[in-house]
Amino acid sequence: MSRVGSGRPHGPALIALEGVTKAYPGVLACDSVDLDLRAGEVHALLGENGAGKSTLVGLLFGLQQPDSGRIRVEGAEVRVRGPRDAAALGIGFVQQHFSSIPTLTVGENLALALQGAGRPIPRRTVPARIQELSARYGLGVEPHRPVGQLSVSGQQRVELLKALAVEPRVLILDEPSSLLGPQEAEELLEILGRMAGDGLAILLISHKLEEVLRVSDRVTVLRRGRKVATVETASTSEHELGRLMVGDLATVQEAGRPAAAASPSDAPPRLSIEDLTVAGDRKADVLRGVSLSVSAGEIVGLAGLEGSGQVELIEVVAGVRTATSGRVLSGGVPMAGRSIRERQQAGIAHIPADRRNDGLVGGLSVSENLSLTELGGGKCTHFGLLRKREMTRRAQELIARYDIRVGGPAALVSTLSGGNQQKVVLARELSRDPEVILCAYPTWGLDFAATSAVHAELRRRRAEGAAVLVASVDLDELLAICDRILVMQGGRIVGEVSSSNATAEGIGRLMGGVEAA
Amino acid sequence: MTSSSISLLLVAAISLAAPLLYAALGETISENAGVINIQLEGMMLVGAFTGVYGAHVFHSTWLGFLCAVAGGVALAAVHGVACLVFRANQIVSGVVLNILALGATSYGLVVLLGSSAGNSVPTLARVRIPLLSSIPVIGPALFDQNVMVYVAFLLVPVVWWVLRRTGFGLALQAVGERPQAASSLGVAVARMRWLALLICGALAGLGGGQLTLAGLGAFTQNVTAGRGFIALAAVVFGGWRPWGVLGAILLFSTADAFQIRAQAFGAHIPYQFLAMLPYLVTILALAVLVRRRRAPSALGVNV
Ligand SMILES: Nc1ncnc2c1ncn2[C@@H]1O[C@H](COP(=O)(O)OP(=O)(O)OP(=O)(O)O)[C@@H](O)[C@H]1O
Ligand SMILES: [Mg+2]
Repeated sequence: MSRVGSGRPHGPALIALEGVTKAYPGVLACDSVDLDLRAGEVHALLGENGAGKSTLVGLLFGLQQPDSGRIRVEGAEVRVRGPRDAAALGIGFVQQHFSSIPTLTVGENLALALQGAGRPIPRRTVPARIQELSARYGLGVEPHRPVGQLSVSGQQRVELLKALAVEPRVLILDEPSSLLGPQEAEELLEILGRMAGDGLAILLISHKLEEVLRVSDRVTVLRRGRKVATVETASTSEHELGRLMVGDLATVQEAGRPAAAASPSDAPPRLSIEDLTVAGDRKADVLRGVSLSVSAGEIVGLAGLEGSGQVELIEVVAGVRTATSGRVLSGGVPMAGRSIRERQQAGIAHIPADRRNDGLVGGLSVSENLSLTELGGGKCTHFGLLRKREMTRRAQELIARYDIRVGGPAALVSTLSGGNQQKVVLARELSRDPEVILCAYPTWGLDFAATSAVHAELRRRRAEGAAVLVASVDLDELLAICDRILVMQGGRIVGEVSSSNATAEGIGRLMGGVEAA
Repeated sequence: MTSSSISLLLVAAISLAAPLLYAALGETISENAGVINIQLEGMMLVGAFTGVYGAHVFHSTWLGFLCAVAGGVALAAVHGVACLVFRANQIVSGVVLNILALGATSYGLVVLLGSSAGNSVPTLARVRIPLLSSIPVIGPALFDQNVMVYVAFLLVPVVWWVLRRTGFGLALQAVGERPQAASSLGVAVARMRWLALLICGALAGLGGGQLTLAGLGAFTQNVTAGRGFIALAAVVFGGWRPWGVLGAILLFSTADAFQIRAQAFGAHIPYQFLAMLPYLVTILALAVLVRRRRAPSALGVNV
């Protein structure tokens, strides 16, 4: 594959961090980190979950203040006290978690961002500005739609638009592609390449090594708050980067092709879905007559572009969303009318797509979040009273088993790094030994090692006889773990491939609807 | 009903709506920024009192209105210190301030104004708009009122414009919806909330002043009699939008005017039942008719 990076010779540092340190109670998130960015380069920032990447770029954008260290812009020391200062210095930022107001339209969000950056523009000119930016960078967005109604990739484009609207010299992107499908991620990388070509300095945080190798000029690796190295991309490899991040690659299992499951086809299906239809909030139906079945000991993947109905399908089975018509049977028993709790008790686990809003309660501790599904008859209560000691013990065990990087069970979930929040959801749901596992984007924001660990865990569950249904926008992930992959498009299943003879290209074509008659 | 009695009914409805409108528009601004003011009633009551007291001391109705604003702002500031600085629960603070306002104004009535009969002040004169006020039926209601009634109604499009068309309004909504995101965009969350709260205090105080200085011409104990709560409800029924709030208030005030006239005519219905009517009509009509809107996500949540 060709490199998208600009490959131009680089000038002196546009922005430099010198010995920057930031501590939170119990963790040293950044430990005297040095980093410099040059005009016209794509600089990748790599590191495991909780390595301190988001914290570091947050300091650059003024979301927090460093405890010590300096930030220099073109050699002069600066203080970045907030987004307004950052904008004045020409720094644009796309955050890991979206910073748009869902009830406001795209145009209103842009106006707000510009105003916050200290560069308000008249409201009449906002649509024209959006048009201009969209055209320049090939970002299709409609100015008048409320952001909350856009697909995830649409929201991602809005975030990019807001960052670009301040005409930055430096653009920081925190995991911009982790929720994009292959096609959209590809487009994003091309846009980044073009912007670097225009002379912007780009700092890109990503967990996708392949993407980093293709798009970047240099790579800086963080490990537990410390900078390990900055290397030229041209002279490094996926293997070396992996070793730099983890320190010792021997602990990471290679993600291979799945061993064929024990002839699942002749067993009765553990989960069957019959002719499921869900009417949409807007015009089109979200699901249109979907039927499928998953046997015990089988992993079935749902591929498709974001918004094709995979997540909604999983939500119906989990009981979060109600179907307009059709049936869901778990172990032959119809699930209609069963509450989420009853489905959990029937052995169904659900890893939701939106961990911040659906999967976790930010204001509760890690140990409380891990116990949420164990209340009422679970191990963590005794006649309705919480058993704190049992909760803590359980949390410690899960923190160790799922390698959650956190100060301790009492830490608030909202203070965890994005990837570690995801691990909390996984740990809670999988620790109940479910027979049916439903996951939407299970490795969203997870680093390489954690992704492999989740894949290994899902395979182990399959070997133990669980029926697993996985929705993902990452085809490589589905190819690595699934026995069968169903391709969805526009709320329908448009094709099925057995993962032993599928290729990412073939599925990609089905997803885009090229072969769908 | 004859057309002249309908006309009188409308005149009453419009002037009854004005104090409610001030308070509810203030609350609309504040709730859009995520601050809820259960003490809206209290702020009106304090404004009603300081308005009359000010008018007495300065011998000027207009300075009285200024004092009404100051009274509302003062109580709002106490709420702000409790909730925005010390992060007290907004509901609890609001409830306590209502009790405080009732106690303080009752005491002030005795100490500063003397008897409730003896504190009367001149009320605002009506300003008759030529030609328009002679339109049959609706003319007198819309174009023959005191100035502060006109101002109240003109405030509806102004607040709409501020919320929907200005950067200030945008930032306000962002703060009420996603304070964290707003702050990461460079919006000064605390400052926006303070501003919204103080504006609400000013308008609620004005609403109280409108009640005494433009309407009754005197302060009596608990003169607001729950109007602040009606205004609070109107914000919800109106879907946190100025035009919706106006609709809810007009419904209530029309029913209220009707009820007052029915009492005056001595209809054969117990007056307690009549007094209940506007509340009943408002709740029923709005529960059935109104398309429900979602409250700002961060309403009442301290950040
Ligand atoms: N507000 C906070 N309070 C306490 N600890 C925090 C806070 N923010 C971050 N941390 C801690 O700082 C460390 C670094 O977090 P950071 O979000 O920078 O990681 P990251 O490299 O971005 O990880 P990920 O890839 O999972 O997003 C983590 O251990 C995290 O728990
Ligand atoms: Mg992060």
